[in-house]
Amino acid sequence: MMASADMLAFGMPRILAARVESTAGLWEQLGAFFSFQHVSLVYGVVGAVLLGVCCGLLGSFVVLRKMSLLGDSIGHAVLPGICLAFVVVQTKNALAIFAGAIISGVLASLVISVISRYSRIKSDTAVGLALSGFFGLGIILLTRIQRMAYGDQSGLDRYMFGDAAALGRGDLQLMGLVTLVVVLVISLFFRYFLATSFDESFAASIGMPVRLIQVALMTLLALAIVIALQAVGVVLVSAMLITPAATAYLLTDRLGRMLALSALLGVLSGFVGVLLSFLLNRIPTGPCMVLAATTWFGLAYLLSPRQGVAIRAIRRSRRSRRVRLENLLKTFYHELGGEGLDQPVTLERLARARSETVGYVRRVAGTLAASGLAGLAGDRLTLTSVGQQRARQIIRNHRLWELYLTQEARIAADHVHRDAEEIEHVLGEEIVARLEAGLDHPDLDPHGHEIPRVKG
Amino acid sequence: MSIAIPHPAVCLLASSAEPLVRRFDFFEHLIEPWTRNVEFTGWIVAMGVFVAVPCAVLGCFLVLRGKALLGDAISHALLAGLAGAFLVTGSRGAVAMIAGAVAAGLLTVVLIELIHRRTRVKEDASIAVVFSTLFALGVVLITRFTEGVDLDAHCVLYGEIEMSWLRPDRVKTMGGVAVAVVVAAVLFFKELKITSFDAATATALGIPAAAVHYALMAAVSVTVVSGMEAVGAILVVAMLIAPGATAYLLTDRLARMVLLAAGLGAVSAVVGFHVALWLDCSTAGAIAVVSFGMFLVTWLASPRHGVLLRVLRRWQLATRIARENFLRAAFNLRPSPAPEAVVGASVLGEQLRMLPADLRKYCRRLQRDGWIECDPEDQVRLTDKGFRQARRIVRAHRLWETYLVNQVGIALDHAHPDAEEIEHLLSERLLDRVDDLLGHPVHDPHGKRIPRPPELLAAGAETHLARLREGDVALIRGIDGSATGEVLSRIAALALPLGAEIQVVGQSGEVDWTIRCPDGTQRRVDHPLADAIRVEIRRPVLRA
Amino acid sequence: MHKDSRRSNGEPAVEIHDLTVSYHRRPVLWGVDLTVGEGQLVGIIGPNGAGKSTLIKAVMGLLPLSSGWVKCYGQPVHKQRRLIGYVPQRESVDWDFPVTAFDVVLMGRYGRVGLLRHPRRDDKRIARECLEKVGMAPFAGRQISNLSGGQQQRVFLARALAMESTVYLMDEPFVGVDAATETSIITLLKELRDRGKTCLVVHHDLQTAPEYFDTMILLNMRLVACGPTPQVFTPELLQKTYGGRLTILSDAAQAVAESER
Repeated sequence: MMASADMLAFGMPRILAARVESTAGLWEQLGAFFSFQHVSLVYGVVGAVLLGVCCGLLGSFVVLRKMSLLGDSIGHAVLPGICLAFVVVQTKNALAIFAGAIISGVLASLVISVISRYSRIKSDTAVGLALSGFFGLGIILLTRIQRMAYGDQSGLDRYMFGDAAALGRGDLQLMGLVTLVVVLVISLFFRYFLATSFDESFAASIGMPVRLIQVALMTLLALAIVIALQAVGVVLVSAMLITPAATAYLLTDRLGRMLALSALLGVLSGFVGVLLSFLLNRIPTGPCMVLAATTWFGLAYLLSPRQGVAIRAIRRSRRSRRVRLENLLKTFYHELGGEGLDQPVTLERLARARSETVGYVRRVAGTLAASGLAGLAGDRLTLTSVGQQRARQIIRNHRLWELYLTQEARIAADHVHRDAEEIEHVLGEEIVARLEAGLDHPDLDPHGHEIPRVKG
Repeated sequence: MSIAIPHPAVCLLASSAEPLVRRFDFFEHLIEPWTRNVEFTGWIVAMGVFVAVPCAVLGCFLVLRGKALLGDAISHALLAGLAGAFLVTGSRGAVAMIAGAVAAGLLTVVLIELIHRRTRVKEDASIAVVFSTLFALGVVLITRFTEGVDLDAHCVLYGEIEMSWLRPDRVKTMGGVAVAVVVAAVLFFKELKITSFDAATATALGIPAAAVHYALMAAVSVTVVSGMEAVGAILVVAMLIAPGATAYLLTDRLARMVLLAAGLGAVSAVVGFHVALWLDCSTAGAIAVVSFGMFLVTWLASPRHGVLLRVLRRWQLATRIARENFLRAAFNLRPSPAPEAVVGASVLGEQLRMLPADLRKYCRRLQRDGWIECDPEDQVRLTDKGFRQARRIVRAHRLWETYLVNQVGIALDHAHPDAEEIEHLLSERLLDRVDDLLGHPVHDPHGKRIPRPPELLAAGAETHLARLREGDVALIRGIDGSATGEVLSRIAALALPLGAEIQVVGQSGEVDWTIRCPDGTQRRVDHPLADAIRVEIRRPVLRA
Repeated sequence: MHKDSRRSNGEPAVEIHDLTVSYHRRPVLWGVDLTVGEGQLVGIIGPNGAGKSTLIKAVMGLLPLSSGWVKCYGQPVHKQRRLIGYVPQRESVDWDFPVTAFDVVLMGRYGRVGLLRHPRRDDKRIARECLEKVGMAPFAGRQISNLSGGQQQRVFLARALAMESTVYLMDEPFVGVDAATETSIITLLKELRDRGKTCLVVHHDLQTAPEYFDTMILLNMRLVACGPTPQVFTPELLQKTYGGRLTILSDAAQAVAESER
């Protein structure tokens, strides 16, 4: 029972028909896949690609407008419409079912906005209510239909759970049409979608039809969700909408690029999903697409150049390592009073000056030595010429910044030290040069200390 | 009532064609389940109630915290937890399942937070990414590795509550979970309450808000996973959210809300069961729809926040405003100040911009309700009731106009239309305050006389001296209890004849009242004093 | 620029007549009447909740009016959109939005670019010039969340400049900006005024107000005063503006709101 139920529920790939006998190796399987001999395989790939474009584009606006869960709820809410359309026309007429789905999807979004507007129920609760209420109605209708022997109702399950591999020519035509409409509308009215998504009141103030654009977006969304349902099913439709867009959002700072990237990631997820489902026996396509999409998201989450969590953690640890090194160099400079920087200083002395343990100073000194800034002989630390240069630099930055703060920003001299402690490590050479020029190449800092010259 | 969804191929073989909505049979669908198949009914209904009640209780807090969709996310993500637990332990025991569920539920919450706290992706998108991923993962794990185990699709989508009578042990487990959740909610009610309302204050008070949050989510996970088999992962969302939301519309007290939600949840389970019997459809679906239906009905008809009631009230207000405008027009257009003066309907129609036919119909309605009398020549006369009402509204109108011009500083020619909207909504108390603030003016800025409230026109009415007007005759009754020492001593200095009849002979600049005492002497009383002196009206001036 | 401005001589830049605005039927501004002549720098002053932003939004036509009308150079506002530039509050948008400072400024040209046309080279040039004017040219390619509060406000200002309007309505442009930005914004506003533009600026800092504005609108649910700063910025009128609500007015608004509940 289990196997058949799942096949039914999550789109047991009919692609299997195209599969080489399971004894064949991975390469044969790949070969079979990329030869695109089988019609159902080609249809599946084309469908997944169209879906990726369509959902990727719309999903970007959905994510930016913070209506992700509305998409999920429309996905669930189309079920009663599909069932009723089926009852009315009594066949699996794709257009009728499409229309029924759209009507009930739009109705649900209307119910959500009316409930959250005219009651004290907040919008998240309203979304949940409509989602589960409409879905319940859909389940009632579905179970009714299954008891009523209407004849050809096997397709209903497909709409409910999705099966990219079972897409027919008609389905693909519909998908192509919807994708075309989405692409056209978005590229023609890009500026309208951009301006209203970013700043609604400004858009209204220059006379843009804000409400109309909102309605247009909702309608396109309903269309996209309905076609996506066929491939990934009710539960996973929001993933196709949101995940690629959220990934693109992590990767770029331009809306145009975000749209393109999101569509690309959508296509990639669709394609990889179909491929995976083909390679891994018995795994349905929908979840494969979703997991592929999430993989990109996970990579972007960790490794995105700007937003990536891992990248930022690495950058942070590098910066704190550098601060540790530079602080030790600074102490070294202070201990020798800025004169004869080639003299050795004991680690103990440095540790006392920094009020740190000797062990800690030894570790940092080790790193200094490893990066060629110092030599460590027993307990004595000597700076190399590069190290001396760096020490002078850091002291100069600190003192210049203090001077700048007192002279330009008019902050009291006794308040500037702490500020300079943080800034000195991040000042680039260019800013330092500008500071120096702006302050007329000063010799002394506000405390009367000499500002060291750095050669070269 | 067969349960599992048959394969399409089986459906094709079914022969009997039925209508979509079956005829409701009182005995078959409502009575017989409780007389003939008690065991079958009992277990199913018990299961429904055991799922619905803890869901409703926890749902209240989800709704109030604005985390309704987290419930949805958790219920989807649990699939991965179940599959994971099965893979790790190899068993389908309750302990493994519950451990897996809690792990998956907390993982969901943590992952969502990791995404939206650490990156620019907002909470809604984070929820969507996380739950869909975990759900997909669950499906993959189940299809790939758990062959022959009855963790299947129905359990996610439809639920198999109809099978409960075959598995009484599961009903008992669910009952245990229900009791545990309810007991925990009662024990930690105070903590749940304060952390839901204001997590920062709760933390300041030493209540670990984060721990309470995670505990709540763990409880949701346990409840959902135990109930999932019965009602499915998606429909359980209805049972989580709908009763809480419904109760939220019905009461303003948290304790009552939770109790009410639990009751509504139980009722929806029972009603849903019967609906499913009647329609021969999925019981879980029916319970979800009944919960949603209850919400919709409450939303439309609740006595406090109901939309229908609001519409009704607005309609009532509109009719009242129309009536009051009519009465006011009749009052203003009277040729003489006498109450029995008549106005021609055509004049009224012109003023109110009504077509003659509509006007006649409207007049007849007002006559029926006793506001006016209308003779065959279409002459309108205000009845006593109508006259009093007209005075009230004209007073409100002119007082408010005076207020807008004198206090708010709105130009005289603009004050008129504003006054017209508001005047119908001002309470008598507010009007009295306005009257007092303005120094009980006799005329509005247009120079028209502001009528006094009708109750001051009857002999024997008790009021303050400040509300008397020139020509009124009244008895001095005493001093108001709230008068301050300074006022008292100034009143004493006036040596007013207590219990004697006085007449107001002048009201200058609307700040001073001049009264003539029985001995012929006159005294000037200023506003604060006039407010403190209680009088009984003997002969009021009956001018409008 | 003059060719598309439908200015008629002698008409005031902004004329508000008997304006009443309600939120959910609860009146928040009552019967405001005022006229702002061309080339004035006007401060809209009042306590929190006095309806300052509401006034601006109502003038822009972003809120439905319960009564009254607003005209710009003698014409209804919706016919004069090109003449009016709007600077919303900085918090009103999501600064994580994936656009650059330049993109935001270019949005100021959207009202002039046709329905299906793309911004032309001229529009881009103007956008760049406007960024330069507010000193943000070096940051044109930055994503907007990487800008400081003051820089974000400058970008918003540049967007309004790019609209090449004659009347500017600004909602709290000085909130959350650094001192340098505040100075440069006010310098810019004065420059605009000297070029004959009209600016209405919501402002809440009484310290700086008299120095910034030559005309003031004092507001607290109703118009308290409107006129040249020396005449209007007086202790009595300020007391009237800030000295608490007119409780009866608030109560009446409450009564209206309750009747609608």
